[in-house]
Amino acid sequence: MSAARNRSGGGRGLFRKDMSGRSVVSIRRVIHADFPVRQLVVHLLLALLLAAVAGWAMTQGERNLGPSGVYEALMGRGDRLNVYFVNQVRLPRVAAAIAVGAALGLSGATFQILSGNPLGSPDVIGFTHGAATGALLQILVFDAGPFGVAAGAILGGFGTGLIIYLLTRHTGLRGYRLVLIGIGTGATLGAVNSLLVVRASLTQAQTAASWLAGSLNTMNWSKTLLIASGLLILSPVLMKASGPLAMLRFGDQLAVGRGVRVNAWRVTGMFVGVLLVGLATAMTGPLAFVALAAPHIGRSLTASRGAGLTTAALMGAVIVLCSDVAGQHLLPVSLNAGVVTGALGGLYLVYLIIVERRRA
Amino acid sequence: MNARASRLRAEGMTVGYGHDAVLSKLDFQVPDGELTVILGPNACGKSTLLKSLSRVLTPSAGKIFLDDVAMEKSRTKDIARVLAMLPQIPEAPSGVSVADVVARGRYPHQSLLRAWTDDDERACVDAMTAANVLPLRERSLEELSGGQRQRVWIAMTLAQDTPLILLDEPTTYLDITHQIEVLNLTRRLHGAGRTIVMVLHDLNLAFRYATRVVMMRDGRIISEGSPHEIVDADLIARVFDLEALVVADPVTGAPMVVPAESTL
Repeated sequence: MSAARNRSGGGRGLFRKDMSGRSVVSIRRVIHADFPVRQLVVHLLLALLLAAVAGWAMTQGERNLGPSGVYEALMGRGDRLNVYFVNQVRLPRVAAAIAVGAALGLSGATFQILSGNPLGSPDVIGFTHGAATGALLQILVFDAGPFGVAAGAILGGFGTGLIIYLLTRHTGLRGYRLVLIGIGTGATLGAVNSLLVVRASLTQAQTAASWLAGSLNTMNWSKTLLIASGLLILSPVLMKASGPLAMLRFGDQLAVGRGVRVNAWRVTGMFVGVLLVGLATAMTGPLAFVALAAPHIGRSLTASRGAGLTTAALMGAVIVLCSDVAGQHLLPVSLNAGVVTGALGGLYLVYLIIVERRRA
Repeated sequence: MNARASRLRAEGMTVGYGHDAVLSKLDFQVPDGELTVILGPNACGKSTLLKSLSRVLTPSAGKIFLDDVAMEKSRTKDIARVLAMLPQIPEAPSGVSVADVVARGRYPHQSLLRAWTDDDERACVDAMTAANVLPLRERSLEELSGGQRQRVWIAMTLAQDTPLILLDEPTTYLDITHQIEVLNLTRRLHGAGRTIVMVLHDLNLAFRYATRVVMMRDGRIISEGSPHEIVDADLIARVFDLEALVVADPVTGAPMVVPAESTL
């Protein structure tokens, strides 16, 4: 249908006048195709990869089930322990990995656009540390459950936002100054986190330390539903924000001139970004580099002209799910997802530096 | 003589960064259908004036009217369908293509439900043709020369398809050939009925292309009118503290400023 519209739409004859009065050849659809094909293909491939890894992860574990065994268990048939492991352990864990990864990818993409800097992701500029501080206070001081920890992480994120805002008030939230101030704030909060753990009792410190390592070991349906509903509630806002955010990549002045309500969208983007990273961190503990790398990798795959939010979400989900699965089943020793993402992120940074050097 | 029609005007406008007012209680009108060039020494407030007129800066006092409606009362997207502004040296995210950049100009014409249309396509192709960047459309902005890049930004501004276009120093960092190319483009647009306001530094090129010049100093307007009528040695001295001869441009007859021997 769209192809027919392309051919019939608009032009009368081959030549017409352009806006400065010269005759020009009429050319259809040289700027924007109706469908961004490459982006769709990448999204489809990432979704397939997610489905494949998720499906495989469902078969792995202490009780190794084949695909048919997993299907039986999902339907609630067969061995009761199998049913329990598949429905109450593996499925929520896989779903949580996808949701947490998507939240981190979205948060990273949003912050990178708002800061106008590829390094301006929440794990680099201190928001993850701040969320961890809030969550640790809840775990260690108030002995809170998942909702309390989530609230603490989100409040910690907003507190960090406030600190960074006050420190960058005079220069604005863009550029290297923001990144430097964010790194400093993150380092300070990291020290606070260590102090909190050191001062805690031995059992509490153990809980806190394993949480700080970032893992999906303790996932259950209540946690998974919490992060999934957070994503669901925020997704209309994100959809509406993607146009303005894509314009903000070109700087505030240019965006204002094109009719973007810059300040309103900056505040909205910040708010959503902090909520997402807070929620994700509350669930799993800090997962390093996901928010930083997912938007980058996604963008280089799609060559996206937009805000790249969907791509970043899918890419984040792929990274977290694969890290968790690799940490559980593929490596000789069982590792937390946070350790795997940290290692992968380090390798990715090295790769980036090498590529940048070649280009220079 | 009755007052000229003016879709864009400022009344009693005070603007500043921090506590220092750059413009104080300024009245200013952009007459329709003119190619206005704002001139003046560094820090005279010409860029600030342009930014305020295009709502990049918000005045602390006074009002700016677009089609007789105070700007702060209009939706910013509605304003962007009438008024396009190209900032000085815009930034582009790495990797975007020329077509990507130009397509940005269509933002005010789009909505969540109304995606890319034939109108958008046509406006972009027209804009790229006018700015002579259509053959570059697949290229990445980073690969282009300064002159080509500036023409791409202008194409983006044109794609917005507005009757009013504001350009902040569109010839900065361009060599003379590219400057002429950009200015010829603005002249063609003016000829096609657009109202154009731009800030320039080169006096002689300004006098050659402008149908109207605005001379500013210390946040005030010293003189405005057609270059033929208002530009003389006295005005140049008052605005720039420069002793100069004003002679007729041998090519166009427009006023041409030649710094006097005493300045050597």
